[in-house]
Amino acid sequence: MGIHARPAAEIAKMAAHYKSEVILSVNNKTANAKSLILMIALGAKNGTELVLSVNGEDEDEAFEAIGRFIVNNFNEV
Amino acid sequence: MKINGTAVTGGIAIGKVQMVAADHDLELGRYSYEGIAAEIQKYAEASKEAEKSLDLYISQESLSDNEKQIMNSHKMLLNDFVFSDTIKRYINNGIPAPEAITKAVAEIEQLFMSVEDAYLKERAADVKDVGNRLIRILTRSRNFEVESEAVILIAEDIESSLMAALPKKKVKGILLGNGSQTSHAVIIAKSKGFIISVGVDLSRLDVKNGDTLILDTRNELAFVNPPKDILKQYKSMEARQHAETAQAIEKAPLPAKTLSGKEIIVAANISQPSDMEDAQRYGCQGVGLFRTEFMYMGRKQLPTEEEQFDAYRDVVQKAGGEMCVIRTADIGGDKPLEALRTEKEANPFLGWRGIRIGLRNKAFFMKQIKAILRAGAFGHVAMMIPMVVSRKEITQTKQIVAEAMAELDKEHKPYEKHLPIGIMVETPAAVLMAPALAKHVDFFSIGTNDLTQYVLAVDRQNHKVADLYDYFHPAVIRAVHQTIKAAHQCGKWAGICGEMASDDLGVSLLVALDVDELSMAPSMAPKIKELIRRTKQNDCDLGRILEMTDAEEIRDYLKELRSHMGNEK
Repeated sequence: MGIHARPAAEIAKMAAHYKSEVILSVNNKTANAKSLILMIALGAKNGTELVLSVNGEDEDEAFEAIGRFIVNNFNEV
Repeated sequence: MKINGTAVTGGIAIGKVQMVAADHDLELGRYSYEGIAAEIQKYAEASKEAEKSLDLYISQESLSDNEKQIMNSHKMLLNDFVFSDTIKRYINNGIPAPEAITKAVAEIEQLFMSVEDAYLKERAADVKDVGNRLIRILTRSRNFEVESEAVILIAEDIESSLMAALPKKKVKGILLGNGSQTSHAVIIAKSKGFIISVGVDLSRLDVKNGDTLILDTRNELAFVNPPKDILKQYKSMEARQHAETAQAIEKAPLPAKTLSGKEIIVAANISQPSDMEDAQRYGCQGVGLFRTEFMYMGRKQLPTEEEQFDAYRDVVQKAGGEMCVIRTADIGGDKPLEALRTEKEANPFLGWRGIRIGLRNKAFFMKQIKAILRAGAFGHVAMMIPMVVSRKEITQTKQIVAEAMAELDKEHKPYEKHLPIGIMVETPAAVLMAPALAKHVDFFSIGTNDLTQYVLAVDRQNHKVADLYDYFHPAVIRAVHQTIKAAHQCGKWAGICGEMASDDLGVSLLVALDVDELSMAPSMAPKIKELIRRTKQNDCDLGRILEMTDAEEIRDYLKELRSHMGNEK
């Protein structure tokens, strides 16, 4: 089922809290996690590898929080 | 006139026909363009207004979780920078704001086209919906007016925000050309209680605005400008329907406490997460039986742990803290399974089914148990195993649960560490052994459908003997009685999740039997809850019932009790 609309919305909401750029990639597609639209368009499917990268002044906190959310909900990073 | 379509909500609706146009061409024609800066400003204001109206909508107390979620995602889309940047880009190219929005929506729809997941793809409709909301504000045509006190809306499709804003009192029925039963708009229509059919061939519908229409979705019938006598007949049917549902649904969320003060939990039997919509609507307190077979049936591959976890978590979250009893896959019997290649058996009901399959396909069983444990981290979950005949099956299942927990520890996944485990009591062996089994489980749920078949040795699908099938047979009543007693002696709770639980004839008997929980099809819950509220513990003389020797005698006695109960209030 992949990143369904609800968890995608959660991630977008979390990402919006941080100043850093938050990028999710699946296969070779990437998306700015602050946009629900881009994350839906990413169409991540279950079992595929998600890569989270964060870049900016509050990158550590952002990575920690969003990373934990993803691990708890999808168990794949 | 016959209407071919799918009745999403069955019932009768009477009103004046009002056609709903889906496009904004008329309004767009009157729109005046005022230059790039002004258009950007108008768009920004419209966006603010749209957000305000969404907030206002979300703040309504009567909103279902489903609607709230849909509207919250609309708010996110409205504020999504991709959406606003795309709109501004078009405006900066000299395009009027409403048209810029249409183009931006089309561009995003295009973006979603490549997504394989059908559910995600459907979110394109939400983007379109948000766009339409903005356009309606910009063109000042946002007030869709329902034109009379009782209308039947006919449309190819109705966007969910418009559906959500429709006045409950004035809109009686809806006919949609679009065939989706699961679109957000239809989900909202259902929760608002509109009588609605989808997938209707509108071209064959010979009606015009202002016609009087009787809609009988359950029978797929419509009468255009009907004669007086038919109208009168249907009006009284409509009135009765309103009175009944209003009364029962109004009281549905209230607990079902007997006149003697015992509360009986009335829970839902469900087969998939979407059934929770009805469970909430009809005031069910959690789930008493989640039939998980739906994920296994009719497919070549077994579902993954994640897939099962997703579905269970969804249900658990929707139950909002109430207990959800998840039954491990009860395949076999009348539910053969392609993926496990269950063979044809001479006596499938006495064969390879339920827990027997689970224990001998450990890998498959483990996945489901892990999914259940993990869903437990999101609410209140219990696990129930079907077709138990001996203690060994319970112990073995518990061993697998322990192994599943160890694996989840290693995988650092959160899960419910104190998962209550119960059994379906549906075999005569489980009934006879109930006092011993009760020590090893947290609860019993009596599956009266199968129990009746096994106790009476009657296959209810065999027409020659089906008339012998009766859960009011004294042998079945005694079995239920013994099972509940055995549970209570060990301090455990006992429920019923077969058809017997929702038979209004049986309520006084079940109250007398001291049952703790009844689980049933959600739509049955309001009526059963109301009957429980009118019953005293000893209305039904259990001693007398236990002396009776055949089902007819018991039925006659219960019918008499039932008739008194109806007259009381």
